[in-house]
Amino acid sequence: MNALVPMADAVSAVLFLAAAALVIMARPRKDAAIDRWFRMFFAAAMGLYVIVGVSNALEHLGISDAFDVYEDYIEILFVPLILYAAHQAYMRTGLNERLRSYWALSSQYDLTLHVIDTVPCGVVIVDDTGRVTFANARARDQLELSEDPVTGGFRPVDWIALGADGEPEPGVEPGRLSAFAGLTDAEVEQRVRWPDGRTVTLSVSSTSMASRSGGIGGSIVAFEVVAVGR
Amino acid sequence: MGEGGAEVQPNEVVNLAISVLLAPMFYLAVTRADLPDRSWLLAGYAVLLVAFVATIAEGFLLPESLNFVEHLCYTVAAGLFLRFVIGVRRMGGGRASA
Repeated sequence: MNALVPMADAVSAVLFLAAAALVIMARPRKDAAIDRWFRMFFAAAMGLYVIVGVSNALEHLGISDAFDVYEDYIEILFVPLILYAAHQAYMRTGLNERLRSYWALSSQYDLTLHVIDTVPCGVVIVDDTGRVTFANARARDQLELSEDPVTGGFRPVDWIALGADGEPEPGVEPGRLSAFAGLTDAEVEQRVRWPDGRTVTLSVSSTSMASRSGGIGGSIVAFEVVAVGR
Repeated sequence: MGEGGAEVQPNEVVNLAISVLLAPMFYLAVTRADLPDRSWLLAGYAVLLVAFVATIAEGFLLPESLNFVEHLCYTVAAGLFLRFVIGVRRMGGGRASA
């Protein structure tokens, strides 16, 4: 039976070598769990047993036992190497799932933006101070909002929101829809006035947004222009 | 060790201990990764464990038979790992299609 041992060792060396070579030459898809690190560690693990197989074959054939002392150390390295390869595949799988989620979320976000830009009414988001943080195409046009590429927000505008009495409320800064900052589910009219006296009456529907602390963190405000005057 | 004719090499015991201790981690990593044909990889590892047990056991009983079993296990494990790699290459490195 021991006569078969060198043959088994030689065959195992060839098979391990083939496995190492094939995994190195593999060109997996970019989104596959098998990445460069997996292939490197897996091939290294296979390579160790190529050495073990050759060493055993030489020893059992009575040619040389020079590698035998190294073989003992080599075998111990195999399990950590193949475990690292498996762990790398696991980590890569998780990373790929996160990337897929990110791209799905990103495309959903883009789609939502396109839908909002397409609706025939103005849509703005105001923060809890009434500052406009988002405006769709219609709102940018009607409220003369323009994006500031430096700050990522909107450039200051000079219209001012008027109160029910037709006068600016005390302390309200231009370009802010402060009345909607803390308003929950309202359908009202809002007038805004430009410095040249031009006024626009907006029919507004708003709904509040929750902040992280649970309070009101601003509002989504949809509006249509119902009147333009002086 | 080595008393009463039994001959156990420390490195073989350490190797078996490491292999058994890390086997659950290996199993979890392989089963949770998006690996094609992973059962071949798990089988290869399991067969190597048998080889590690056989190489220690041959110091106590049936030295010739268990030595042969050990080396046969290496060959079988090599074949299983090779089969896994062939599956990896055939399926482009992952089970889910792009």
